[in-house]
Amino acid sequence: MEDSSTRERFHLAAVVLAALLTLAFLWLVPPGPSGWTGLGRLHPMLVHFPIALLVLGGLLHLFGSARHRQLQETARVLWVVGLWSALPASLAGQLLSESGTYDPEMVARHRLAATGLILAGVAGIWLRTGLGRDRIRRFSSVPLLVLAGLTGHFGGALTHGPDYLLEWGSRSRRAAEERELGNLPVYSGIVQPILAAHCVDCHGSARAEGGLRLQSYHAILEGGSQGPVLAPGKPDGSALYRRVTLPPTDDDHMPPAGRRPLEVGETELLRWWIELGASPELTVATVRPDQMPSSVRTALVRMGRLGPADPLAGLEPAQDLPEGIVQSLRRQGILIRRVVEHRPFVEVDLSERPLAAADLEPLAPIARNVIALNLSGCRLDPDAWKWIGRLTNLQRLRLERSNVGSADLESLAGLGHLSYLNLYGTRVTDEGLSHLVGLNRLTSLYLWGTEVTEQGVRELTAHLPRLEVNTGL
Amino acid sequence: MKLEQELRHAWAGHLTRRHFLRRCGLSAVWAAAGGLQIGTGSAVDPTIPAPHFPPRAKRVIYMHMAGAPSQLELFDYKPTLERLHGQECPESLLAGRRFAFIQGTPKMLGPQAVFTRHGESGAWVSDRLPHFAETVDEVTFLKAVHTDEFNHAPAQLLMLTGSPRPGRPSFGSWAVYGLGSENENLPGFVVLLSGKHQPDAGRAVWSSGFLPTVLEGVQCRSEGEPVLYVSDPEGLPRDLRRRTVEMVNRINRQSYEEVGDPRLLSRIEQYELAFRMQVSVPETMDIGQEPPEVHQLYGTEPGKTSFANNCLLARRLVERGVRFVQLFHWGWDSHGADQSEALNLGFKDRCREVDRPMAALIRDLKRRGLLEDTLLVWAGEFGRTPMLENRSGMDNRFVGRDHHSDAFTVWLSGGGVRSGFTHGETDEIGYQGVAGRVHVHDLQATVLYLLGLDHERTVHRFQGRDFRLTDVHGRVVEEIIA
Repeated sequence: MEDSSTRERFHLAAVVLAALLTLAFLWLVPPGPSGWTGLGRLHPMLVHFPIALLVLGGLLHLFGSARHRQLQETARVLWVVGLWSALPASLAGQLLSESGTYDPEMVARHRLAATGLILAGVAGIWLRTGLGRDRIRRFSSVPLLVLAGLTGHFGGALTHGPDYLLEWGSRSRRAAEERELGNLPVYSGIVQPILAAHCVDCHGSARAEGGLRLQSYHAILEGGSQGPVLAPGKPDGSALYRRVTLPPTDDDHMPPAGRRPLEVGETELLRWWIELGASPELTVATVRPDQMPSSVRTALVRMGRLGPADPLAGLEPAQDLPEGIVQSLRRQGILIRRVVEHRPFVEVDLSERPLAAADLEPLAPIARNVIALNLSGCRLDPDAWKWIGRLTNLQRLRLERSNVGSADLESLAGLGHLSYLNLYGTRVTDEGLSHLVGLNRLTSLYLWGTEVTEQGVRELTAHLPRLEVNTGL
Repeated sequence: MKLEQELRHAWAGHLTRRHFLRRCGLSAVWAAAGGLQIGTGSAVDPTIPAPHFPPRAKRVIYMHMAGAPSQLELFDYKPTLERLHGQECPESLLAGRRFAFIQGTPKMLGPQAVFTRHGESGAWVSDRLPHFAETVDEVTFLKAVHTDEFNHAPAQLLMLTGSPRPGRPSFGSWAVYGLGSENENLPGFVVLLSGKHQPDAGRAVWSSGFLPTVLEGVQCRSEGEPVLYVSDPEGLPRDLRRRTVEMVNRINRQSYEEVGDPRLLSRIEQYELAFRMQVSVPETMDIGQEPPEVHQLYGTEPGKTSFANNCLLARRLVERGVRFVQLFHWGWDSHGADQSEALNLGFKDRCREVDRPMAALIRDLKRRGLLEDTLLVWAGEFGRTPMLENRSGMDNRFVGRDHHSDAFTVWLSGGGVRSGFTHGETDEIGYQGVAGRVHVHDLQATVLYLLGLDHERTVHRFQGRDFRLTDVHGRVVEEIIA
């Protein structure tokens, strides 16, 4: 007993001393790259042992029965080994932080948490050596567990980004949204992945051939030992673009022989980004259609970074279609079909017949699901026109050769999603057009064989610049 | 519609349980219920197929120029070929190649038409198509289309059924299979012929193959009876006809219950459709109803069969919800062996026959607001050689070109396709595509995509494997989609 106690004390002293030396190195040695910095790369390999061992030891200590001697011994061993392994891990970590590519603030937080962890570990061993009561001893593992978690999290944030843990749910949704809404940031979503795939191995935070780093926008701007590589607006004057588009046999061609060269689509995208000013904030949505050549659009679609434009995006959310409604409506003679699989939107065909509001009433439960309505050749009662205003998600409305009059168009004024309206062969006049000025999403309007005048059309297009009007001439 | 459901259920009965389970996910269940593997239907009614993508086009008018029109005299302007006119064809272009008729060393033939740029898009069109040239801003040209076949029948079959051998369903059948028809009183797939003969591949290019026969193209004629054998004999009242059809179908249904042959269901549906068509078709096919201005626009010849009449009919059919209208115009095989095949004689007549109606169709659909969601396709089955044809090693009597599978031009308009655009390029003599090459299967995939169908998922199981229009090929040409 005596021996072990002495040994224990000796051991404790050794641990305390080692821990203090480590902490001294962490906090007092001036940081700066040195010949030892390379050893810092052992940090990811070493750091997982202390976390696992300390956490396991802490859990056993916390929840294990105090009377179970073997369990407690095991916990102690784990704890001790965990702490010992934490020391070289921290040293390696400190060396790694000297490489300068990690955010100093985040590194400081990580270092602080690690320090706390080491101290908690030492304290735990101290307490286990005989001082303190059972309950204190037991709960002494709580701060240790917490600190282990925090240190691990900060470490993860350093490598994967600060929102890594919290955004795991929303990220895939956001990616899908980005693709749909075109909010895809060009730099981080398109250019960066290209550089990461082809360039960053040699020109990144770890290794900087020619003094050039390309793993972040800042780094790109800094350029390399031969000067800047990016001239915003001038792709041919940017080495970043020039070097990857040289003939493959050219000595200066990047990436060097043996590595996979950039594909045509990728160089196109690079060029496009530089031409548009090489801004890190540029998003696909803010690019004008004439600024997006078809080659770029195709490359984006092929890369899966841009879905084909979804015509159903932006509609108000609609409930799923009730069971059996399509069949029952069809039995009533209403031709209805789903527009696209998996989405609750339908198109309805009620053409070439007289209609009263009562005939449209069966559509009431799915009013928001109807995005296209064909009423060509119909004769509607006045109350039926008003009824149409309830189809708030309507995008396409065919009213050609129907009995629609200028006054009836007032009922359509609230259809904010309407993009296509066919009025050919009707008696609509300029007065009718005036009701349409609020339809901001209207892009196609057909007025052949109506009584509108050029003046009326001009007034309408003055309000709706994106509208294309076809008068059949 | 109940009958269609039964038909599909019965068709599914052909498929073994193993096939259901092998297919992935929900579509297997609905396929079992609906006998289709297209879309997942709608959750509320699995037998009404829903497109896989939001459709850009609801209908297609496919104009096939049987015989293969010469792209070098219509759309593909090659000034270098002009300079090389009369020179002997270099060996490199002939080595290892098989031609339909060319033997020995032919001479190069410069363009036999005058080309100018047109419209805001500056597309090249020859003087043979003056009316069409005015509509090029609505059109996308595919200049580097290529195929694998250099004879008419196999090439037509490849183009329209996806395989050079007969037996597969045609374009229109696949389209209606995937989407259904928008009009219950008219067939979903209608075929109109003009020119002296039927296309070389015959009925096979509008057949339904192994799909239900109700999906076969219904050949409508613009002269005489619109659809053969549909109208009642003299003196037979419609009411009597209706009761006859009902009786026949009652017997058919009984047979079906005893025997279970799904072709009976197809037959029942055809009888009913034919009955409805007796009223709807004559009315639709009567172009006399159209105002004179429209006749002027198309250049129609009422009472005769003509491409112009067919184009006007196509517009009428499409207005009434027919999904796929296939036009054939025969006589483009400009070998130069006789007058009708001469590039400066017969070919000119063909151009005159199609020029006005093509342009009219584009204009007419556009002003009626239908061009946006109606896809127009104009194509031959292959192209023609930059060389003058020398059949059996001797010059032909007239100027002509031989078959050429490596490069030809197709144009598309409306239905989600870009306006005023050209995709693809051939080399300086128009021999081969050098950029933006589009295979016939790619064209098929693209048309299906514009209709909202995934060409890889629009399949039907037959003879132990899944068949589709694009066979095992095809890539959607995204570059031309607006």
